[in-house]
Amino acid sequence: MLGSVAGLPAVYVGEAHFSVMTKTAETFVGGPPMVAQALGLTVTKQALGDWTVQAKTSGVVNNVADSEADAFAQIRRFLSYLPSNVWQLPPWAEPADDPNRREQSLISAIPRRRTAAYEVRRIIEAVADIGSTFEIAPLYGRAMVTMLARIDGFPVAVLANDCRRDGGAMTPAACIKAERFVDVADTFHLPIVYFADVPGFMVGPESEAGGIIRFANRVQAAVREATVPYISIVIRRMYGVASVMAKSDGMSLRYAWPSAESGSLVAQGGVMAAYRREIEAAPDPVARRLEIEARFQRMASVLRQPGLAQPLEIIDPRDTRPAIVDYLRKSHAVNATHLGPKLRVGMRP
Amino acid sequence: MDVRSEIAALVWEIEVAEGAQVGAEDVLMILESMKMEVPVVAPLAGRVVSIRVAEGARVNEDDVLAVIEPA
Repeated sequence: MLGSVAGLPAVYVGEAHFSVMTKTAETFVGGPPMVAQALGLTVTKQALGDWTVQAKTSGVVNNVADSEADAFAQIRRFLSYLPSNVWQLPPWAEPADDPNRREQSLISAIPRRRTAAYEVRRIIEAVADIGSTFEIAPLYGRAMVTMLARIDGFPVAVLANDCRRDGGAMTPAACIKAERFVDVADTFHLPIVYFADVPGFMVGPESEAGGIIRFANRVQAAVREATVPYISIVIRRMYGVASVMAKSDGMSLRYAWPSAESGSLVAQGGVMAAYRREIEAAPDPVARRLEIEARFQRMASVLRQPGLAQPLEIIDPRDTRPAIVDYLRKSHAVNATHLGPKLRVGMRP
Repeated sequence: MDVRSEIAALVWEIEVAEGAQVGAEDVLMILESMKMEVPVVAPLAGRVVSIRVAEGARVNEDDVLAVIEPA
């Protein structure tokens, strides 16, 4: 979008696989005269639908461009990862990067203190082919990072939780962003690479009123329906129902770093929900709560969960790129049998 | 140059004093949001001209946290 886009063309914007707008553009279903007539409100075009509304708050538009030239450059970049149509595979390109590159920085990428945040984009950039990442919707649903990238020359769709935003919890916006991105990846046969550090779906009044249950349902359905190769690296937390984002059925594959921890609930908070009566009855309830939390926290590490129904295979973080390359090469032949439009069965909740 | 908050958070710990020389990526302060400690780093090397927030303060996205004079 390079100017004002209203009515039917605005609806087309929402239908696009990728959309980009300049900071001087606006989009809305009805402009200021319509709003004045219908609601008696006086609003500017900017307040109705500039980039702060549509790329940050609503998420209808994916990316923001600094100039018209930048907008066209972003469109070219987006298309460079995709096939010309759904009957073709994404365009593989001879990689300049070493498939066996073991990035030393990954061994210390996750801080030892579990409450310390880190920049997950650095991890993605260390694993992907150098200079190959392109972030989609960086301003919306920011607890979830969505990027197109190449690994060993294969175009891939990268999902990652950003622990610096909302603690990495899946907010309604993060769910909507991930659902749409998984759909785009599945439509165009892009393998999905997910870096998991998720404490769960977002709790609280704002999240519930925002429909988190519905959007959690929908993103789970999108992940289950996807037939593209899907590899997850659990880099820190994988808790609750949000664990389904690290897909474990079909030909999908999950690895964990030694820093990974998982469970049905995060110990802090989860213990109070499950052991409330016992804690309240204790002579020193706070001490009792901390004691139970510490016990569960010790069990949360993947290093202590070898007997899980679906155990996670632990890898050295430096082996992440070679491990993903190996998976992409092996799953490529299967991916090539899924060409054409993806048939959806049933109703997305 | 203004260093702004990327998130709504509490200022947990300020790591540098006004007048301090800092390198690019040095931690200026740590914010706390959703029980995660999120470091705020210097975007470039220079001198910390002013710290605009106090420990314990609540900040919103885009609030100015500190001002750095580039080296």
